Amino acid sequence: MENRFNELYQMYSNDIYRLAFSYLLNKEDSEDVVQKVFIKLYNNKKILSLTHEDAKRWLFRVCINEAKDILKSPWRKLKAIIKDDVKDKTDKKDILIESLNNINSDYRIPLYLFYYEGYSIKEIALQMGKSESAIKMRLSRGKLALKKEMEGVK
Amino acid sequence: MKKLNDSFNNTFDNVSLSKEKLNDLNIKILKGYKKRKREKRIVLSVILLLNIMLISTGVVYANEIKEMINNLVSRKYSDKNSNNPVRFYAFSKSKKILNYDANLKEFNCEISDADRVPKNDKCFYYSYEELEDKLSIKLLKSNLFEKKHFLIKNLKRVDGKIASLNLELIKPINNKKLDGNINLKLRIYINTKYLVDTEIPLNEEEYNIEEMKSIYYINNLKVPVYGVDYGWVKKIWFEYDSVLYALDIYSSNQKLDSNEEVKNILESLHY
Repeated sequence: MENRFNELYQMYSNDIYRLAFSYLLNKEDSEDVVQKVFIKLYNNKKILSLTHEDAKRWLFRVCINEAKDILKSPWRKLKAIIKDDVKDKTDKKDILIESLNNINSDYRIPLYLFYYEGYSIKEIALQMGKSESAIKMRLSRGKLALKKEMEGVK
Repeated sequence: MKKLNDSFNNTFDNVSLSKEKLNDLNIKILKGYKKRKREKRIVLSVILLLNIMLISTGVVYANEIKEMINNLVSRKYSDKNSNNPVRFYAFSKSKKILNYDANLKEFNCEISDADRVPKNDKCFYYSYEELEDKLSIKLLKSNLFEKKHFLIKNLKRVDGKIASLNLELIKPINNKKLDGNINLKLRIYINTKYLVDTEIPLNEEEYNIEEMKSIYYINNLKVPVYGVDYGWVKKIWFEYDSVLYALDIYSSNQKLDSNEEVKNILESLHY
């Protein structure tokens, strides 16, 4: 079981990190999510015995839930306020990251899964436990909002 | 779409954990798992311990807990035909298990005959032992009681089974032995599962009360006693082992809750 855990950790830890980052847009929080997700995986015999695909789906599902919890947490909101006050204004920001930061957080994960992971609408719907029409709407609105932000940031 | 694709690829290709960070997180994951496992064990142990304590408390204090579930209630009853239209009753909701087929004879004489007339078919009475034997139950008694003749009043049967009965023990204590101003009457009310509630509950006591107020606690039996003071007559009642005991005390002016004679009688009760 430990070998299987290590295998899945090596294979998917960065995927989980990126997914968390696409939502939280923050390194420390994303690292926290990775840690929490894999603690849940550790010694979970049921998940460890799944195929790679199914295990990845499970990991992504847990990651999304953990990321949402962190975003909702009042401590996180306080940290964001403090960070805003002390951030170095000379930091070179990634345009995409900055734009993602300015759009509705509900659009971020579908956009990431669609444009970076290459998931289909059906696959995103299955991953997130939503209907295909809901995902279509989020993608469409997210894309419009993101484009508008990116043009504004430039 | 291609532009967005490229943007996502360019950005997120650079989002990754370094090797050191990966190793560091791996160690934290293992520590975190062990910590969670340890915390789970502690929580489970605490829960188990609390449950054991709760069950033990329940076992040790079962009787006390039972007392707290009060089967004695008071109820308002409206009698349109009566001059006194609103009356309050105290009665017991308990159902006693006994020998429902017991062959018992009611006392059909005047109460005053109980002292004078020898036992006969009409004026029939029972001793403690006879009643307890016939009904297969225990009744509270006192070493202070001299007269131990129970009269059966209002024996009610349903389909041949005993549904309720009232027992009376008149002047159980020679009043010369008490403060000369006290006379006692002990009444016992027993209901069984065969008693079907009617509009007027049997074995009720009209005490003109609005709520049950405890006036004393019998330490020996661990039950509260309720009472009403009408001045020259005081009525107290309590429930023990699903049987309602009512004492009528014909006394002088001494208040119920400070009456030492009455307290002594109550504390002397036993099986």
